[in-house]
Amino acid sequence: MQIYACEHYAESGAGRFGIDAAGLATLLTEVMKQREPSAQPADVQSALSSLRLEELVLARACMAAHDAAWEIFLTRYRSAMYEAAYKVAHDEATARALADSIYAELYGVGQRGESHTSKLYYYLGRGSLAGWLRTVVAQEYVNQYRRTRRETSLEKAIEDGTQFPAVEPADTPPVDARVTAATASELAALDAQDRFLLAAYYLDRRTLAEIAKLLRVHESTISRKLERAATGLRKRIRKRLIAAGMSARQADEAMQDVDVRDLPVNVRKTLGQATQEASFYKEMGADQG
Amino acid sequence: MNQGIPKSVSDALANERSAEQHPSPDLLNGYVEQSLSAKEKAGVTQHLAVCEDCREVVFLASAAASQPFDAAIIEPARVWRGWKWLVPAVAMLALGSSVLVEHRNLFAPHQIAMRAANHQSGALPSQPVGSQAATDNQTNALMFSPAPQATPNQQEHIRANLTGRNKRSAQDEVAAAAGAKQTQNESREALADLAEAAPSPTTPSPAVVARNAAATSSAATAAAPLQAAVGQGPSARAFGAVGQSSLQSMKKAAPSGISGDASYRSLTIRSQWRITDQGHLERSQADDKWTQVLAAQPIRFRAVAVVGNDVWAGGNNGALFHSVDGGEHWAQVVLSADGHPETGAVASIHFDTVSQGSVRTETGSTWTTSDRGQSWNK
Repeated sequence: MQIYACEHYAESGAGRFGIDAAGLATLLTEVMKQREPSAQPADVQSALSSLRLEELVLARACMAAHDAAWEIFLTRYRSAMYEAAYKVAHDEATARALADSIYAELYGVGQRGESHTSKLYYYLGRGSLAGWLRTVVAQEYVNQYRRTRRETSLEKAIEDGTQFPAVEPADTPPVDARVTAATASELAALDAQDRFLLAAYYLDRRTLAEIAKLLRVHESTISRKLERAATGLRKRIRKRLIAAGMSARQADEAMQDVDVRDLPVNVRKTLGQATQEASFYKEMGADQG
Repeated sequence: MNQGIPKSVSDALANERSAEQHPSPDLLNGYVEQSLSAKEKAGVTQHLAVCEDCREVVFLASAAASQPFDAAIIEPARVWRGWKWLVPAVAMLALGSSVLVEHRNLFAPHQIAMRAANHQSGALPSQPVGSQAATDNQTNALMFSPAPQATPNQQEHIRANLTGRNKRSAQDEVAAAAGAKQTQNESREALADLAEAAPSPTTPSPAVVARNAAATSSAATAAAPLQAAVGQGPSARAFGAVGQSSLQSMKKAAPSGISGDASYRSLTIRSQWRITDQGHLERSQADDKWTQVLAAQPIRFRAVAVVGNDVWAGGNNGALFHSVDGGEHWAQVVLSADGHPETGAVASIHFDTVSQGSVRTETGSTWTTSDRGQSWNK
């Protein structure tokens, strides 16, 4: 670590904030430990080779309340962060509130004015600082959005017609256990990337363009992968159902989508993921709860 | 995909929950920017597959990025996919037309008479070459030339297929396509001059030389609008140089110039670029096949930007590399002001057009150029 720190000292810009090579080495050791406490030397070497060193040093200098660091930070990232907040929230007032609340946390000031560890402590240089800020904005927005959604007013509930939820019919046709078992088995065997694609496309209703932008491949590639994953999944589930004693026709019928009006589906339960209040903060430290 | 997934699957996916803690924003950002190690990426993907909240976060963060990313992958412009066939097709059409016209001219009564006279006298006719050449040139050009201007449909197609940061370059391309007519006219004039200045005694007749030159020009300029449409490629005048040769050599040169020439190939096959988490610059010309570029350079690359066929890549110690041919050849660009070279790592590269762009370093310096990197201002 000492060698790395010496070699990259000039590049890191640590000198601007009064951090010497030894201080940089200490900082890096701490960051690497924070990233992966049980990392092997090879992993550390690999992590160092892709580290956003200069941005990491800037973040740590900001944490240490270095004026010059904050000046650079504000020059580089302030407008970008507000822009990101607007792009996420699509509403100026919400975006401003969102960005302001994050700023307070970056400064290490809580909502009630109490001081705690700056949020910048959790920037570990895996990606760009600007990207990290965008992710923090997005995460905070999702938190706020979910929180707000859970605090739906009575008026809104009346408007939505959900104030008196319909009683679920008693004669709910039970789902064939073989279908459930086959589906569960095949999903468990599915590659994580394919599961992600299926969930993003079919559950979250993300467009091919959105998925392609995230994964940095062409839309047609996503389309092909989805097609392959969905078709393969269907085939394998069908095969399992037949192996479990169903006829080919029964298997096909079991896999056909049923008219939603015939299904006693609890939409809230099915679509809503029971995310706990501000769940993102759990991993970020007790002081941020 | 139209079939979708069985309802049992979508229900099961919806009901899946992650028992793990959510990944930190640092990891999620690393996923978005594709800078995670393979192990980290696998872990995050596993979580994203079952966590709707985190999926929403990564999609929001991805959408909030104003530019695609520092290490942007510029997908091949779709305008090219549909037009790939057009280049050889138009060239073949031009070639076929030239042969047809040549055939007609050879068997035209006045040509037969002229050849007979030449055969008898054994000398070239004393008719002024320029006037005949110019006339033939104009005639042939009118007959051979495909519409050199970008039609409204083509312009619309280009606009429709290029979005975001490519918009400006798309406008340039449309303008370049429109400007190709002027280039073509220049080419015709140059070739007419060429025919006038250097009639070869070995050629059948001066008129044929002019026609050959014009035909070559047409074959070249037939490709020129498409060359120009991507904002690069040799000008029609450069192709016109091929026209100095005879029809035979033209026949050889035109197909090779269009389909076999390495520089042209680099124009038609647009590459995708990325920077790995090890800081390697990589290019892909086909799905999932990545090749390291500039591997000999001891540089950890941080940013890559592509505008048309120009590729810019930057890394630590202010290293900046530029390729004008889609990554076939590279030149190192030194960023320096008052004799002090830039030492900060290049953090981002942004080019609005082929000539105008900026480079930002991690030390906060911003370098701008308006002449395709010939000179830089800090």
